[in-house]
Amino acid sequence: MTRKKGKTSVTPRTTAEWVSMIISIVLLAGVVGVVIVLWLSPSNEPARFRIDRKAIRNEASKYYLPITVTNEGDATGAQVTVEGRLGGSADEQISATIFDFIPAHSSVEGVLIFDTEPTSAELRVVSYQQP
Amino acid sequence: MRGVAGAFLFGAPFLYTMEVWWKGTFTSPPRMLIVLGIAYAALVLLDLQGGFRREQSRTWLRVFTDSLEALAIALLTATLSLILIGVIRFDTGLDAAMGRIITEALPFSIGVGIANHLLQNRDENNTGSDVSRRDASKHQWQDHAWRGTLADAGATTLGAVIISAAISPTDEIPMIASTLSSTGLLAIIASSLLISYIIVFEANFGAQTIRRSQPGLFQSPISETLASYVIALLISFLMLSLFQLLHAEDPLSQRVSYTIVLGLPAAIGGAAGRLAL
Repeated sequence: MTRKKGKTSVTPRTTAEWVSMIISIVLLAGVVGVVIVLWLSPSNEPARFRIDRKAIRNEASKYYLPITVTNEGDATGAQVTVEGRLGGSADEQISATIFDFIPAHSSVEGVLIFDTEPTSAELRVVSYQQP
Repeated sequence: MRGVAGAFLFGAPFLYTMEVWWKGTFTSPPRMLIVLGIAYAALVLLDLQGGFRREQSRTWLRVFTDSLEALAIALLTATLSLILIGVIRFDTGLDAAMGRIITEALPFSIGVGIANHLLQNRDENNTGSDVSRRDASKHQWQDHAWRGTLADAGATTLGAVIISAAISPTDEIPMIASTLSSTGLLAIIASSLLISYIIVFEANFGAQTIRRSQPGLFQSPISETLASYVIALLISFLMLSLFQLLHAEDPLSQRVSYTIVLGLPAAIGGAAGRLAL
């Protein structure tokens, strides 16, 4: 074991050390503060999803409908399955996609693909899991 | 700087684990506080342990505030690296973001603590032998330059292989790469270079003055860092091909992005390899 210059006495802090300490304390206080605010704010609402559509794209006679799914609840949804239905019972088209995770108050993007113009498509979240 | 280097050395494998991000998305606030508490307790213990080793007398207040600083460094580095690999974005909800940062900060803070207190400061101890070594290097410059270059390249390769072999077969590489834009990739390149430079030349992990005066292709800190990064990228590409994440028919953009994403931990491994030698 190498020994470092015998007994070292308590060294006083330099200005730089004071500054870095104060910054650290402010930062940590901020983190702990945010966590406590999250804790105190009522967060019992189950996952709730809103689906927004974006501009439809037409490529090689297929229609691409980009969607944004936002979780407005306070709980995370896993394996969130979104389904788009188009047309009547005779020529019904179903397009679906699954999102691995949508955390509370987060949004994710996906695309549903149809054979015909999907402006009138009915979009809904079919199911999700509670992690 | 030492703390930052340690955080990345120990945190990189956890950073590239999606289960860690997922757990973060549904961590409840009380659990987050417990995780922070555990990280802080670990840092205090590591500080005390390090203090005994160095036979330094330190006040309790000093131990507590130093550990506080270490925790702040861990949180900061964890946040930056999560933003870097696109796990935290603007549309990530606040509680998911906090959960991910705090769970990721646990391994990062243990890295900071180990770097600050357990890894020895070799530079301070062998300044005497350093001078004689530098003299010797002048005598046989030619011979030494070759050997030094080979040794550094070998150590970088070894370190990069160890880390990237463990990470390359996992699904995280395609996952991270697919979410990144080209500016994101550039940011990863810049951070890989910066982190590898910090670990080898700024963190005082040992033999820093020797390294700076070493002859060979890896002569100046900048060229050494650049050359090592090239090696790390090469190893990453080889590993990705070996584990069939990249195929011959894949487009160039995919090969480039996968290689750069794996290049970050590989560069960290390479830097650690050069230190260990």
